[in-house]
Amino acid sequence: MTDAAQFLSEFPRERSTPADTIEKLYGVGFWLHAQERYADAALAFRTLLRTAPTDERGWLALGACHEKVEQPLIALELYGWGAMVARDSVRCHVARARLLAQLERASEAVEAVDVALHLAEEGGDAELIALAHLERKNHVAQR
Amino acid sequence: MLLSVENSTGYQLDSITSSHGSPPLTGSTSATELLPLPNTSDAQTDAMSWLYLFISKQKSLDVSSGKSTIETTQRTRDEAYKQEMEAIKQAVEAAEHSSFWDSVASIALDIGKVAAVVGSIAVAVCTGGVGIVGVIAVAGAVLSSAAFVEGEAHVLEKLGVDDETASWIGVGLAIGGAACSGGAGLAGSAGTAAEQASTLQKVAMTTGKVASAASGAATIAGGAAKITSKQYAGDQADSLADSTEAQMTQQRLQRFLLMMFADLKASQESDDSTLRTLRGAMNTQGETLTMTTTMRA
Repeated sequence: MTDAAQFLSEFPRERSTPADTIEKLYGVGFWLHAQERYADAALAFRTLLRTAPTDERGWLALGACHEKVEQPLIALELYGWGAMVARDSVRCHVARARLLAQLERASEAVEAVDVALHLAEEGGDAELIALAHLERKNHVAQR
Repeated sequence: MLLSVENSTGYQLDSITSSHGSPPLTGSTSATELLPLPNTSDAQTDAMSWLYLFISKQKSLDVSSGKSTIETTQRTRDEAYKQEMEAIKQAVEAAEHSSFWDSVASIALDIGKVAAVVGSIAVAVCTGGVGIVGVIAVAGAVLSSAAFVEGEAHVLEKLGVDDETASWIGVGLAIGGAACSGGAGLAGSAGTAAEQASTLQKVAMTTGKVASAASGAATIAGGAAKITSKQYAGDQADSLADSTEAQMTQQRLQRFLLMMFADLKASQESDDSTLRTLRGAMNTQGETLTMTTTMRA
């Protein structure tokens, strides 16, 4: 028995659907992130990214890990790519806007949050619309 | 179902419900708070074992599948470049020779093809094209791995990104982002959407509109074999504009591909290293959950 198989055999496990597995991957990454184990969490989120590239959570979470280890430009790239691949991802645009504001790129931040607002309104999700509106208000106030 | 997540000091970080959580509607500036809460309700030890399994399987597949995807992309890029050069060459020759009108229809069709290739990335992304999405996903993972191993500055320097650059890959691939982001569509009107789009997207929109305009004009002209010199001059200019933008895209894509080739192996080695720490993470997590349960009992 290989090392990995032996290791896994120690954990009784029910069969999971792909969707379940993606949730579990995100769950474990989220947990590691909460434990401030960002390198380990990033590994989980990279795996999620490769498995489900159109899931915005992978891009958001991986970017958040890079922000935590003070790699904001890497995070900015990831949010930008996430916004491309995970279509209509309001959160990716908002995350990008927040980061741009922190990087003192205020006008770009407002532009990003405008895109987020546009997408949110187009999508019709009240929660995301509220988020985008609040973000815009905050960004405009900061300028 | 309610599940509490606590860190090693017992501080409660969040309350997790069984449905997707909501981002806090505060004046937060942290991206972390944008993360939706996990939708898992079972013991996360199981997730850790799944992660281990996933990585064990994927790490050996990534290099081969990644290379295969890249090679396909590279072939497409090479083909696009050939078509582009041929179209420009024909356009120039046609303009210089008396056989101008004889060649109009076929040239117009070629210009249409070139323009279509320029915009193909956008189409691939917008239609959920697995190839491009897969490449971007692998690129994101590689970028992240490399940054953790080599540091942000080193990786960005390799990519040619400085603090003022919106996105190194954005010029090419953001065409898709612009097209997908609603209101900033490739063939959309410039008005409000253009004002609201990011710098990165404005570049993409410009490229996309040129491609779209050239494609549309060329198809019509080629199909009907009716074209005026004024229209043709316009198409010719569009073709050259496409060429410049396409070359920028190709240079960036080429750099990206080269980096991917070099770093896929590094990424795998990095994952190997991190994988070893997962055993420790699983043990720690188990202990934390046990402690939490015990303290609550």
